[in-house]
Amino acid sequence: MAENRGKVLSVQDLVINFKTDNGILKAVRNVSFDLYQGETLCIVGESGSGKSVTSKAIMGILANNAIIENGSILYRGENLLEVSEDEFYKIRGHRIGMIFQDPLSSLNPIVKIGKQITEAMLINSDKLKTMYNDLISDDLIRYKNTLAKMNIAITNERKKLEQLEAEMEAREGRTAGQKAADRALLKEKKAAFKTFEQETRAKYQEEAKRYKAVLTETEKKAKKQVAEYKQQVTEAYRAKEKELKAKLASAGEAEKKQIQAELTAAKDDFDNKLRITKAEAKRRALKIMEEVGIPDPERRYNQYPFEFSGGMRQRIVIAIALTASPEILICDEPTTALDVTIQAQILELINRIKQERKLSCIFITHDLGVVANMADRVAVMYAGKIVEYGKTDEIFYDPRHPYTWALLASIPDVDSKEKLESIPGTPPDMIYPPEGDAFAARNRYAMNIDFREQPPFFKISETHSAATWLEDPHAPKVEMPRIVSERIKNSLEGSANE
Amino acid sequence: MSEQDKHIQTPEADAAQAGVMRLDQQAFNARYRLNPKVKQKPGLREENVLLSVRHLKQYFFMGKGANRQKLKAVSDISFDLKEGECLGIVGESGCGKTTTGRSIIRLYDITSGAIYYRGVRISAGDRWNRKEIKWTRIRAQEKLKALQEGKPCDETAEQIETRVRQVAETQRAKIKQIKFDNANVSRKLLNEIQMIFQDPVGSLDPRMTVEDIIQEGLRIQGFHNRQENHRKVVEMLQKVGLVEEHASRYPHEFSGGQKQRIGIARALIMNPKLLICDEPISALDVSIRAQIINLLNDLKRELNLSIIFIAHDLSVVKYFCDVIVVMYFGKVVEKAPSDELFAHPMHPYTRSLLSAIPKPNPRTERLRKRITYNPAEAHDYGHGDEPALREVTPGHFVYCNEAEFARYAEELRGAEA
Repeated sequence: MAENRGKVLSVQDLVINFKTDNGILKAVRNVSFDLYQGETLCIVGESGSGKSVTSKAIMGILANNAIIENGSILYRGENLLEVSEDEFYKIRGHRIGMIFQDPLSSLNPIVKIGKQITEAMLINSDKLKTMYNDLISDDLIRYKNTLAKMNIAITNERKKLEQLEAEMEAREGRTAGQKAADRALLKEKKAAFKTFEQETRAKYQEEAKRYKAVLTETEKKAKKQVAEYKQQVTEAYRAKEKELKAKLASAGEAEKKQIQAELTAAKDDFDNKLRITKAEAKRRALKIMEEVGIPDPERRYNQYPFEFSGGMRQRIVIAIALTASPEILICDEPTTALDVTIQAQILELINRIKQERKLSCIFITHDLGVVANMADRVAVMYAGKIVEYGKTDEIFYDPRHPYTWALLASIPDVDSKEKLESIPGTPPDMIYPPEGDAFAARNRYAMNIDFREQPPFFKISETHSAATWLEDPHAPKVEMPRIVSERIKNSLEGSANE
Repeated sequence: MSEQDKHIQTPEADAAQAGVMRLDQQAFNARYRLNPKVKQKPGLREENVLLSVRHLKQYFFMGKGANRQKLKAVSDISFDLKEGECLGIVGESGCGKTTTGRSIIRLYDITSGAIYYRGVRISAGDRWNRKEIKWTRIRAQEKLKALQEGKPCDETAEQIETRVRQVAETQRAKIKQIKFDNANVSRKLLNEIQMIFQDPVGSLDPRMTVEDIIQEGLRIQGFHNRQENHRKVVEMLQKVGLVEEHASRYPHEFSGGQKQRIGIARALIMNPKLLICDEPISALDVSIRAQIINLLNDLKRELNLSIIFIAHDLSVVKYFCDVIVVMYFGKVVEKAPSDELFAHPMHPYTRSLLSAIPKPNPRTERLRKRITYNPAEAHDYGHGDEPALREVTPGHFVYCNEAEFARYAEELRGAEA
């Protein structure tokens, strides 16, 4: 059943680096996953494992020093890494919504809640403008995308060159000969870059010229169409107004009130045809506030964020994300700052909204309890890589990667009183990621090969795969820690009994 | 042994520590340099009670004049903590659990009630005593009025006046004693209570090195021997799983888990006997949480610490505590030994807390029904049957009225049968 669902979003071989003062930080290294229609994908991992960076890449809100080295994010057949900012406006918020970790810092403290919820609606309130934009959007986006592709191609090439230069500088103890060789290589590369730049520019600009011509044509047509529409609507309203006013003049006292009401209704209707009025926006906002479970929305509408508790603030943030009715919702640790009871409420809310609106969700967290509650599929991330990927049951009842074992062993459990097994040490420094498996240094089951070579993905079932050498046919048989196997046994038995 | 070690107890001295509770009064006073006039309850020492919180009330007053508002952060809670035990305080944010912890280490002047540490009153509030005088006067005045109007009364006017005078005198003496006690607390006694704060980032001064942060307490208490202090800092760092090199660094160079370890080292250097941990792990990653829980558990065993562990998550407290106190809006709603509480949660709020914990088991998790707690619906108070903490089974207290008490007892019998 679930297999038949279409892919909504597909991330392939994503590599993201950050340029920092200390060197290149490899935040995301070859991450691939799919998000299916109506499902929740949970990304689990410690802080610094690259889960937030991945989600920010999907939203197109990475920091300036980020370099997207490789990979693609396919949404409706389009690669989000290559589209222009103009097209991203149409996607960000409208198609893909996001909820951030700290509800206080993602709300403006000096703006009333109501204004923050209606803000997005009112920005796009001019219906004529929207209509015009819609008419020309296909051509405009094609034109802008061509330019964006050109710029992205050139910038990527330039960044690679800069990276190479930085690496050369960073290499210590170079002899004079090596330095000269490096310089020569750099010169050669720079020359190559220059020709590449010229060629790309020429190629794309010619294409862009053609699209520009088409665009001007469409713009003219669209302007005319919009003007016609406006005239039509206005004329209809004027006619009605005239008619009603005539009636009003001849009507008696009793009828006057009714006609007066009709007149205002006609005016509202006319306004609504041209733009989203504030009243209309408020009506929608109140409806959404009610949907996310804010009691007494009329009063709450005029309050400031500080008057809300943590859980209520998170509800507001969810409401803002829902105003544009997105298709995909990315939740970046929405419950980490909340306490357990409130967390349970927010999780219930997200689950309910997900079903009512048929959303697909990407849920980022470090709490496996939350994952068990929310997820259909789970991706376990460590040091910028996905180490295990599978359906929820497979991850929880048949975990294969030692890191997943360690995570499962380290969560406090109400049902047992065994000593927790903590993961020793800290995550590796991602400016100098280890050569082999990044988890090897903290891994009790690490083998020699773990320190030398990165493990590939081993398929365990159609939907389940793990990147660990333990799955290699030559590897020795290893049992998972007793605490994990016992927990799995207990929980399987427990659920069988119910 | 250096001069310094004589003041702060080392592990060798800890052997003698076990006998502290049985020291005679004079030796005890000398040991902690106590003012003999401070109120004491030696009986608590005989029962091995380390900390006793009695009717603690902590109100905060906001605004001025007509806008003056009263916030009852903690209203009337009591508990005892025996030596070597671990007590957990659980509740949602805003229920007063942190305030309780901070009141115990005297970060606030408490409003009413008293706190005894090793049988010595270390902190007390006089609001109750003042109110007692006031209300006695008001009631007396009413009675006098009734007498003047010729209504029958069990006392004569003279009797009433003497009684009021007596009450006022005794209470005034008590208030004087409370003020004296608060002003003459033994620093040496208070040093045995230390606290670990919730936010590891916010509780470390970014402009001080780790060494300065950890030894600040020592310096304040008058230990200025640099080599000795450094030796102690290194010893503490090793105890919490850090190394000597970390001493010269600044807090921003550490990860969250390491910062929390520094916070623990800072508390441990004063050689505490009672550690108050205010949500030490809620700001940390899951994998680091287990490290800190295990570290605290090891330290507890190694140093024979008593711990008050404050958390909002019942699953964490379970690994630690012998006794768990569940708080709701400044009141204790349930108090029971750890195993008993998890086996038979009685109060509806405890049940709702337990049901909110997500478990790493997808199959049961999907079917999980959260119990919501709404005090207005769950209880039927206010018909003369007032709620109070009642003992359902030995050691298991629940905040309930008579009708509920009968029902809980019935449920427990049913569970046992």
